[in-house]
Amino acid sequence: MVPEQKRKHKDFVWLGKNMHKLQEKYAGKVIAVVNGHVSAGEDAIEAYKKSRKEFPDNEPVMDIVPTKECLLL
Amino acid sequence: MIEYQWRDEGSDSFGRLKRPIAQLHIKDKSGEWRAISMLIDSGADVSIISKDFGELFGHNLKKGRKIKLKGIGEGEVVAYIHKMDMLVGKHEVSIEVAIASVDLKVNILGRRNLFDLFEIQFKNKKQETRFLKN
Repeated sequence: MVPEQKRKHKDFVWLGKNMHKLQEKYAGKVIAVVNGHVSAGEDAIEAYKKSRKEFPDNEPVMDIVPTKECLLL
Repeated sequence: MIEYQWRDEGSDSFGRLKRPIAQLHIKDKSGEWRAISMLIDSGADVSIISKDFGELFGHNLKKGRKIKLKGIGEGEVVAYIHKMDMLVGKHEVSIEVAIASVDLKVNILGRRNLFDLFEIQFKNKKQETRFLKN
């Protein structure tokens, strides 16, 4: 795995472990994550742009932080 | 075989619960792979991403085929079908994805195309989802 792939994999794992904590602060927001650093926005474009501004060389891992309502889709 | 651990999330009604999330990549219109998490939903007819993600990935929303989606509630969501390349583990696959005409609070991996390409197993005891390439 090349370093950037490894980093994204780590960020995916980090998200998996920390999502319940992130819900406290970012529920309903979109987040972009690089090396465990969270850039949040009202939508994917805002979160992505914030992240690339801080980490121009890294493609962030994107996610929507769930609210605490139950999902029935 | 690709294994995705279920994700611990908080819920007002049930406290902590585990949800089946997949971590994958979607190729945007410029050819870049974007890393994204999506909820795996075997009850969803088609995969769907939020409008803002569709825009971020460079898609012209209305160039896709228009469809209407309904959930359990009364409302319906207009969406547009686009073909997208996805990287699931090391497997590059092309599937139809609906881009919603509104921002959603979840991106969903549904059955269309994807469940033909992979055997997808929900392993409740191990709290993981397995993707086996057909």
